[in-house]
Amino acid sequence: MLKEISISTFFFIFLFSFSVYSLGIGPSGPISMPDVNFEPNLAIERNMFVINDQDYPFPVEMELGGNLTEYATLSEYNFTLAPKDEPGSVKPIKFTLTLPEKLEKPGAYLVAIRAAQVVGGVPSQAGALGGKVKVALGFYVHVPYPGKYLEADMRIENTEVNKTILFIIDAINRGNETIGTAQGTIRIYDAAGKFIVALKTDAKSVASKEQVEMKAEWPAFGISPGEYYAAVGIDYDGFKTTFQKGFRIGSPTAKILNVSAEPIVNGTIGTIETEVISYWNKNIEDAYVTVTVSKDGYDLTTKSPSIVLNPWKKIKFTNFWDTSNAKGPGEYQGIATLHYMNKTDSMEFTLIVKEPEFVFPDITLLLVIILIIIFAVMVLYTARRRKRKYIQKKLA
Amino acid sequence: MAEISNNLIAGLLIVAILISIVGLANTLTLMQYPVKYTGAATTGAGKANVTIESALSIKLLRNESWFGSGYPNSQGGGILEIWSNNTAPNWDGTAGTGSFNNGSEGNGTDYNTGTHVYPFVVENNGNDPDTCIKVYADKTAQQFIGGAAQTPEFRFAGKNNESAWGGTNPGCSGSYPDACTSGLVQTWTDMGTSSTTVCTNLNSSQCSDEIRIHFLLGIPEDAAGSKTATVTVAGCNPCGAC
Repeated sequence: MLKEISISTFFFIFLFSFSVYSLGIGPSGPISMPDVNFEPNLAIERNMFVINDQDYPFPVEMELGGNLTEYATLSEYNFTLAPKDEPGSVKPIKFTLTLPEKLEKPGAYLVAIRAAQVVGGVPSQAGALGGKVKVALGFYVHVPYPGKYLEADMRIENTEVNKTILFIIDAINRGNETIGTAQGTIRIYDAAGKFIVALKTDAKSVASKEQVEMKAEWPAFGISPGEYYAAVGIDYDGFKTTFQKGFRIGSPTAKILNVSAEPIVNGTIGTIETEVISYWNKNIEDAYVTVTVSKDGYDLTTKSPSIVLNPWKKIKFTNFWDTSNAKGPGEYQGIATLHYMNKTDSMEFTLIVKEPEFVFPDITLLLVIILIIIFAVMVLYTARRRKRKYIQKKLA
Repeated sequence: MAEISNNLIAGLLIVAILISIVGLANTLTLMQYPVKYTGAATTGAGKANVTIESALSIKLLRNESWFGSGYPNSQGGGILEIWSNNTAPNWDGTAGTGSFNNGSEGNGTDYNTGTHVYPFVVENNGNDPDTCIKVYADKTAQQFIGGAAQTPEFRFAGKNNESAWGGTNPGCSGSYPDACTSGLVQTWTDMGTSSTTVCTNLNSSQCSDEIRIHFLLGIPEDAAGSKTATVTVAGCNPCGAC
């Protein structure tokens, strides 16, 4: 079996014709590509474009996707994009959709417009994988449900401790009947699943196809910064829709999580790493860590480079400590202090300075030294023999 | 043909200048003062409308993952898994510090340097912050790798790039927030022939807009031969449009 395996050779290479691939399509976003409510025979036209960001031309293939392709057309399906910034690098495309008289099933019908880079030619060597880039934009055509049907999502603002946090539920009635009263209940839990508080939003009436905002406020005073989640339930005329949403409550604080340092060999420069987390929703500029190491009257403070703490990110600061002027091997007491936004956070730690370990000389070096000694001995021996022979010859 | 004298030319020039002066004086006399400009705004404030169109655009900064060639000689038999991240084993099943797959993930746009198996790097180079990234292959794991002794594996996993390795664009250095703001699939996931999400929202800000896509190949002990397949990286909004 091993013999059979050993003669099996594999090639796995992901290979493309060019070093970089890039393709764009637009206009994108909810304003340029909004969802549509179904109306019989509604005609929709959208002027789109496909763009090349690279310095070489390449062929592009357009396709329609989703559930309504039979009612949609594009002005062009195959073309070649010119290199960027040259005429022809941006291709205008007209998209047309004419909805039918009736769509049987209620719900959201996806309409997708896709542009794909066409890979040209066969890879140049055996075992190669080719590839391409594809981009797509889409929107939904909503066919109303019979009766009342509420869809909702939630935005959360002012997510800081000691502020009033605002919960905004965006709800839209996808049914064909007016909802008399809709009201949300927001139950908030911490990351460990412990229930904290329940909030009620204001109550709203929602006409068919109408979107409304329902709001609730939570004064988050005395709440710890961290991760939370909200379980949302919206009751409307005897029906209910539910969903969950995670969120973070920030505080302009940062904290040292741990300090780590391997034992340092006496007389060398060691590194001390301090891991820090930011609980703030924005960047914290110019944060740095100072490390003070002390023993028997010896005291030295080092400062790390200043860096930006990104929101809710952990990062490691590195401090260097030169032990050459320290008190020799032994245990040192250290304190790491994080400096940020005119605040500090500290953590104490212990650091070990150890004796240099005996390292057996490299075998090659040893062999070279032995060979040099042997050579020197041979040279001396030969010289002595020659000298003796010369004296004997002279005496004879 | 009679020649025209210099005196005649000078005379004609003087006449032309006199006619111009008379014409200018006549025009200025007919004008009403103060001069009123037609089409001017009635207030001192102006307004300009500018429409900046957004585009969804993705770039494959690195689009090669070279696994090279070798023998599926895993220790003790069984399937051999090779992949493009730090702890990948070698073709012979030993720890990942040998000639293949020794795993510097890197963050640059270079590839085929040294002996590393680099992942793909995808950048959101458009201005749509809700760009969803999906991948798919043109072959299943069985069609791609083959073999019958074990079930072949062809998988992918995503990872943020610049937040871990620093920005790759000009003017970007240091650490940045995660580029994939939601839905990053970081566990090994089967690569299918229909699109599967790697990241639900890939940021479009200049210094934090890249993710890596790693690959894992599981090779049955009886699989052999050279292999080809196509991997498509798709960017879309909404996610379902890919």
